[in-house]
Amino acid sequence: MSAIRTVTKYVDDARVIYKALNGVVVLYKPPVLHFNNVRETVISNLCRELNDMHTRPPMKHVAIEGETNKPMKVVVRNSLADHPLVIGPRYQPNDFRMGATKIMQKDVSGVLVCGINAGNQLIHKIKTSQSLRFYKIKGLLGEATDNYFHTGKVVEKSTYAHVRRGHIDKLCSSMQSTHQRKMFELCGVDIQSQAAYELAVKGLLRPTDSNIPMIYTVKCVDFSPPEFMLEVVCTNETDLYLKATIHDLGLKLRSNATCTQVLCIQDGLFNIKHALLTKHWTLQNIVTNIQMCQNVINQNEHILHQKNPALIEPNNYIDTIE
Amino acid sequence: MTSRLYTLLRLKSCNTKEIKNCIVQNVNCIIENSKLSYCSSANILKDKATNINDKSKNVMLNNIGYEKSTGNVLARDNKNNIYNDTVTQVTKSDGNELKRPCNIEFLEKNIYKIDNALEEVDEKLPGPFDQCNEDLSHIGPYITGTYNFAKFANDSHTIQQLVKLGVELYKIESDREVLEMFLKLDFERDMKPYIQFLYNCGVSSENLGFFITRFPKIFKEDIDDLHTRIRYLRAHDFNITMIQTIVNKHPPWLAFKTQEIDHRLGYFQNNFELNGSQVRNLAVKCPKLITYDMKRIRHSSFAIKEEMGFTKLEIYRILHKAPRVLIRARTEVVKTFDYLHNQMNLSHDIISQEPIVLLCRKKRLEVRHRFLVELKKDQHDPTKPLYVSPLCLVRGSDDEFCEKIAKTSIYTYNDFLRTF
Repeated sequence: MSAIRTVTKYVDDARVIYKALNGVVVLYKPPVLHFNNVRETVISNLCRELNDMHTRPPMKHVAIEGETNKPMKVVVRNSLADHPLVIGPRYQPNDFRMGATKIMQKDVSGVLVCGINAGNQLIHKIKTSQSLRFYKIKGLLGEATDNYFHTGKVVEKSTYAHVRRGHIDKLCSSMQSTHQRKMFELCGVDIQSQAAYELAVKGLLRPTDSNIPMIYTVKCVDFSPPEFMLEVVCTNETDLYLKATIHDLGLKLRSNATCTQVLCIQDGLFNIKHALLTKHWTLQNIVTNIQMCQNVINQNEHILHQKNPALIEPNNYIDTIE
Repeated sequence: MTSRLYTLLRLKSCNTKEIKNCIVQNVNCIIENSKLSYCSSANILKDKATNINDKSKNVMLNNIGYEKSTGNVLARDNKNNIYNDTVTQVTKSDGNELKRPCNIEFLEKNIYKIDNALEEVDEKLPGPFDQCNEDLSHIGPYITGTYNFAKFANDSHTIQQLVKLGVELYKIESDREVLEMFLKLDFERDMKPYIQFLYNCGVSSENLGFFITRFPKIFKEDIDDLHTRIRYLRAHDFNITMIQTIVNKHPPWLAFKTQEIDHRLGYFQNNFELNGSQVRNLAVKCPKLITYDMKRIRHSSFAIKEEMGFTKLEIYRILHKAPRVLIRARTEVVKTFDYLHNQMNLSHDIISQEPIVLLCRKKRLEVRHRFLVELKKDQHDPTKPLYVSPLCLVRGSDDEFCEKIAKTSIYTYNDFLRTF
């Protein structure tokens, strides 16, 4: 907010910037790339740009020269053993650690919350707080593949002319209610107890087990046969779980359906609008993004220390730094 | 005793033969002595030792005599005598434990002899507080194992010169063979002729570092061979600027034998039906292609001919404008072509007019094409107005694309990119 004053200073020393590269950054992960490729690209970009700046000068080499039976000379010169041409560039991929709240598979695209260096501790806390993720999932009616995604081999085909919007809506709401009932079973208390009642009063709950996928909302946002789009709010999900949901939906519709796109539009507090596109994975953009994410985290301390099993409305004001 | 012997060895290297004998005797004696110490009492030993002292002194005097007079023959005789004595005495004492003490005589004799030898040596052993007036700068610790050049960088003249040339040593040190070779070479003697040769070939001084980084094994090649390889190019009507470009662009070219290069140029000439000047242009435009893995070239040319179905003229156009298509991974080229031909409905002819699009990633092509489809600007027919050529589609940054082709704001395009 306006109370926080930022001090801007221009630097060209790589050492200062390397120290500033600690924190959470939000990236947009394109489809086809695996998380490991994303990490490799980001880190190599960072290394290249840091190496292009003013880096640490070579260490001094003290040499004592001359014959031992005569007065000897002490010479101090730049050590060649520390020359970038001999030992390689100053910043190397090994100098960076990068983790994410969720390891995204090839088929999934969208928001990827990553931590760079010391930011990995924050990432771990965010991960354990089981934040919600919002997905847009596209489906294609009429065919089924062996890996539930459109890249796979088609194993089944069927007609879809009988499918109406109402059918999908009905199935979505029944899916949602089933999952919400399961939510109370997964919260870890006896369903007949007073504690369960008090939890239920609070509204939606997080599951205690971080391995069980939990869907809070499913709704159809677009239907233009043979394509349709679902919006899903969930936690602890896997890409295969979402794809299988589409597949099951297709079977319940007396037809078949394949998933064509899984796009994560929000992960916890971080929206796709703040995510950096592939072409923006540069040092300057990443540093700016780290600052922005730090502001967001400072305003929403609850995502780091989860005290309550109920879902909390996030402090939606996200101040973007232009 | 052994330590004494050791000092003797170091001091008087000229008497090695004698000393060897001494060692043989001593070792014999030590063995005998050790056996004895089990069997007989220590007193006897001591008594015998004192008796022997007198005898051994005589021997010692003899020794001094012939060392000074350099009577080698005498010395040997005497040695032999001593040795024979030991042998006879050992044989006598064999199996008889009581007579064993005889051997101790020899043991003691030898000690005296060594002491004596030490006295004889004129060089005085330096004490700990003596001043040393020698130049000891060449003495240093042993070189231990290493896996990179950094260890030698401050001492080796060769490596310092290579750094000045701009050779990226960290890139080539992973090859152990190269590492060992570079450390053995002397810059002035072994490297200068090659660098002179490269300079004559037209490698500019700024480019020398790049050249050696890419092709460090040039120093292993015979310089006459390298001359032959350049002469081969000259003989086939490559002019000097052409040779310069080839050598600057693709240093490993010089690693190939003339027969090999000849075979490959011939392959391209026959397989794609090119004439002489076309082959030369190809070699200059993309020298990497000529020296590339033949198996992969065969696979790519098969893909272009059979999988994608280009005609001979179209293949020639591709080779002429974008020879890297043959180097790019076959599967990727096929994916790009598939999108161009089947999704965008471009004919073979249009693609071969601008074959650089085949080098574009399918992802980039797809995103931009779909954006134009959204804007209804995907007009790829050159006979109609508002034509968008495939080259314009893939060339330039996103800003340029939005400004010139799509004519929208870059923010719209960025938002569009986020929907994939």
